[in-house]
Amino acid sequence: MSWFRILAHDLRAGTLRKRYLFVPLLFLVGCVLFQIRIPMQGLTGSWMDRILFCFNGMHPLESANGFELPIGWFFIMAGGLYFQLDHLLEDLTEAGQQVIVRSGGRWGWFLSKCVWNVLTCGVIVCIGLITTLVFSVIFGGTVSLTNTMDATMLVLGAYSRTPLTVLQAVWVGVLLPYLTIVAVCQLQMTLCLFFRPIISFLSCVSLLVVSLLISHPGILGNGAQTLRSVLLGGTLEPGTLTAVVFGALVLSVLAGAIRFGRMDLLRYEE
Amino acid sequence: MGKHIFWNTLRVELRKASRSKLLWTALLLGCAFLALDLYESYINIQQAIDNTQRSEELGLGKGYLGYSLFSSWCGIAGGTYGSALFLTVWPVLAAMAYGWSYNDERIAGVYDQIAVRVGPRRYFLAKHTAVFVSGGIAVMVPMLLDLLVMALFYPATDPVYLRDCNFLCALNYASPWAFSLARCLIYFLFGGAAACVCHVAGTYLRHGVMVILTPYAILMAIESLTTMLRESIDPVEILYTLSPFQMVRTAGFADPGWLLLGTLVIMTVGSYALGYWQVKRNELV
Repeated sequence: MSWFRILAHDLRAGTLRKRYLFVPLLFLVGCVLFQIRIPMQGLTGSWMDRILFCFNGMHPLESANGFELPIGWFFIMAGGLYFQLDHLLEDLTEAGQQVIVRSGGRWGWFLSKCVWNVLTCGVIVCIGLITTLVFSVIFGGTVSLTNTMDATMLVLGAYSRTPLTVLQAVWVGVLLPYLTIVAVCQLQMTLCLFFRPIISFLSCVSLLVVSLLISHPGILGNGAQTLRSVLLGGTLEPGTLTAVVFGALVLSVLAGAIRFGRMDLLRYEE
Repeated sequence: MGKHIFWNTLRVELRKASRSKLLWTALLLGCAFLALDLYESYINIQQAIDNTQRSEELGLGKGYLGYSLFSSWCGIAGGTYGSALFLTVWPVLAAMAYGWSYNDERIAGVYDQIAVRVGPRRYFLAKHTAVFVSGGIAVMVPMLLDLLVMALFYPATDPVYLRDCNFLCALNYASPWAFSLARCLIYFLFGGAAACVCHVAGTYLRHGVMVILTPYAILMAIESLTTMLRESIDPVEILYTLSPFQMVRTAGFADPGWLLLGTLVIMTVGSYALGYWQVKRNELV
């Protein structure tokens, strides 16, 4: 069986699902909070301001005393994990096992799931971008991929001496959060092969909370927080964060592939 | 006769819940998060002791101002990394204890066997009660252990001020121990109620894990709505919160008794009604 047919099956069975209709709701929280927090008349913000706000995360903390969950950011990240959780598990049982047998090798099958994860996370982020764009148009914001200084400082609570260039803004506001979501979902998928799925979900959610509490490039969720980037007054270099996210992604894929190649699939049927 | 059957069914369900590996895993995870909280609290109080000794040497007086067991344990303050983790994931712990069981039994066909013998209504009520109790235990036991272990090394001085609009706030000063134990009970009730929300999913979701995460998804959605409402009304004024995430903690928002009780009733009775409606709708027996 051609590898592309397996991928086509994954995209059909794993992506064309009713649940993805709820993805705009994940970004709706951030968009509504942005509108509420705009402090003065005349300030409308740009499309990129809304994107940066949706993936804001939180400022580094001295201690956990002042911890308050940034609900918009957490909703997107945990929602992504929730949506991506069960496709691998569903395909490990019943008809899915037939596909594994016919695919001729386990690694190809697992690689297809990894590619599906990368593409589906892309779909989630694209839906998010469309949601923020719609909000920008409705509320009179400029459709621009650069941030505005007023919105950055007053709404996002970040600091930058000059507006970000398009490249910087897309890197920090779109690419890094996207790669981080892919890496965290991939980690969850790999952990599902070692532990129960609920433990994998809890581990990844805990990792996200730890990333909120500790500002360190080695902790995966920091890449998805625009407020942590040195470009917006934080302390973490986007280059380092990108390298860490890529490293985590590759390691997760390798660990998952090795584990999947050796595991007993019959226990899933039981 | 009917009552007798119900109590037998309930006993069986509770026994099944107590033997569930996931209940013990939830307890273990909860205790692990709160062990981190205890470790951090121990470091904090050691630093406070050092500072107190230093201020005594300098003649600045002594005492552990601001360091009280009743204001620092996880159920009230949540000022450590461990407690922040626990307070973010407690609905998942509650639901993973036994919330998945109805869905599992329905898919495996066990439901039909039991429902034929005891009747769907008795079966579902017993299941609901067992899910409530196990969910409550999964959340309350780590909390209670946190309070009791912290009492071994943290000074039980007078608690800090609580606003009048907090539930049982008068008890906080009259009998801080009773107040802390009452907060543990509130965690039990909210844990149980959150676990019952699993039944809202009915049999729509095929995988047990998605059922377990249903309460978390719903409570997170309520938390988001509450945050949006709060910010749009007045971010400075102290407001009532409608989010169970905020309600279980005394810090931050007003949580009068009627609001706590109302939320608990809506969560428990609402999930029972929705769940039972689906039982009747999908009736196969």
